[in-house]
Order: sequence, then C-alpha cells, then structure tokens
Amino acid sequence: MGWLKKFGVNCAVRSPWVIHMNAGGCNGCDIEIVDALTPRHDLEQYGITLRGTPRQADVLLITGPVTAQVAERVKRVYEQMPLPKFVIAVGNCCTSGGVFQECPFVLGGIDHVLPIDAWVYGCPPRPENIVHAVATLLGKLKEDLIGIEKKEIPQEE
Amino acid sequence: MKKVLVMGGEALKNQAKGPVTKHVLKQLADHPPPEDIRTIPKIDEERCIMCGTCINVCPTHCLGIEKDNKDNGMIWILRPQCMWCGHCQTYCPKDAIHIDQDATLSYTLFSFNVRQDFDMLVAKGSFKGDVADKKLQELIEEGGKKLKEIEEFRG
Repeated sequence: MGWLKKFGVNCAVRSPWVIHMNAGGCNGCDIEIVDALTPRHDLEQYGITLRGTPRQADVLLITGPVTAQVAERVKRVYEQMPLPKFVIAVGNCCTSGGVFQECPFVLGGIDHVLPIDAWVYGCPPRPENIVHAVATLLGKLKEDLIGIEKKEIPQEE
Repeated sequence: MKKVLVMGGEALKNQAKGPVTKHVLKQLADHPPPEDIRTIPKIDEERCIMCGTCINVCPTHCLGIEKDNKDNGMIWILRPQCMWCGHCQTYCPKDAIHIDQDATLSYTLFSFNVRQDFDMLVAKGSFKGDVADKKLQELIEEGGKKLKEIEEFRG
C-alpha cells in the first residue's frame, strides 16, 4: 500500500485549494495575496486556486490581528474545513497584533485561536515571500506525510 | 458517481502533466525585486552609542536593550514583529541603524515557529560573546514558555 499512499499525497500536494480570510486587518496583506495570484508571481503554478467556501478548501490564509469579535468566526470557518487542513498566517498583525497590539479588543496573535503551520513576516509581506512560504510548506508536508528519511551528511573533522 | 469520476480524471491528468506555467519561473529572474526594497534593520557596531532611541520610537516594540554605558551593551530584535517601517533609521542620532536593502532576504522571511525567532543585532564591549549568547538562549526559552501558555489558552 506504500505506493498508493505516495500517489495520494502527491495528488493532494499538487492541488491545495485556498480560502482567504481577513480577521480585522487593514486590507494590505489581502492585496498582496491577490498580487501573488497574478501571472507575475504565479501562485497557480503550484496548483493553488482561491476558493469561495471553506468546505472546498485545504489551506486557510489568515491576515490581520484577531479582534475579539472575529475570533469565534475564524474558529467556525476552521471547523467547517475538511481534514487534513492547514493554516498559514500572513503578515505581522497575525504574529503579535503588530501596530494594533495595544488595542484592548485584539488578541495577541492568531495562535491564541488556531494552531498555525507557517508564518509569513512583513507589513505587508512581499508576494515572493508568500509564494516561497507556500512552496516550502508543501515540500515539508510531502516529507512529513510520505516519511522520507533525511540523509545525514557526515561532518568532516 | 459521475462527479467522482470527473475529479479522479482531473487528479490523474494533473499528476501526469505537471505545472502548466513552468515558464513563469524563468521570467521571474528577468524581473528582480526593486532596489529600494525594505527588510530587517541592521546596526553598525562602531557607530552605535546605546542611547535607546530606536527602542523608544519603535511602533511595534520589537527591539530590546540591555546596557551599562555607551561602550557596553546589546540590542536584540524579535524578527516577526518588525514591520520594516524605517522609523528607527529616521530617529537614530548617529546614523548607526539602517534598513537592510538585500533583495534576497525578502524571499526567506517566514518561519514555522514565530515566538522563538530572536536575533542579536549588536553586542558591544563586555557584552560581546558569552553574555550575548546567554541572553539569546534566555529569550528563546521565554518564547518556549509563551508557546506553552498559548497552547493551554487555546485548549
């Protein structure tokens, strides 16, 4: 059954579908995500397309500091996604609140609500950075799921 | 049943075909990022006088300082919090701190663990070497504790 699993993982990693959600930010990171989908920084070459509903998506892209009001909605969207599901936090606000961190209605980062798989830095992050993060995450997932053993290079003394 | 067959057919086709837009990667090399790109700040060790202005003006509180006098001290940064605004560069009295404009850095600014991603920007005098390494280890351990707290909060 090894080959079947390998085949399934290959299929899954080649076409991850993405849903994109704003959790109370300034909309800067959202525009960078849309820029990453344009032909110049082509995110679709990895089989990634933007979906409108969480029920069809494998990856949740979150931007913005998580306000107290939107936290429950983010959780609900996450619960609607089918397994296996992954979350990528885009932008500085997701990590710590960014410039909004002293606001009383902001949780200190998205990881207070959801488990996160990858973080992208920047305010806003550059599109190449988003593309690189997604590609690296997919490579890492493939390694984790198939269980490729990394060859250790013997150090010369 | 028909839908499943269509989906399976698509999956098989994609498996065999590979990416359609391979040529785009070649084109990206022809269009490098702009030269005035902004990334993580860096500090010139000889010019820095450990005044702490950059720590006070930082809008996201990403910098930290520990010092004895102007020749002995260290400044560290929490990389994911820095928003590359260049405020520290504007206010620095000795022009010691500047935003790095290395375009290749912008490809690598992401991580899988955000709470422990500290970096030592400058360490001067008696704080050089062991003291700086020890402080960095402490900060990383604190980040680990915060990670556990957040996991408990999440439930």
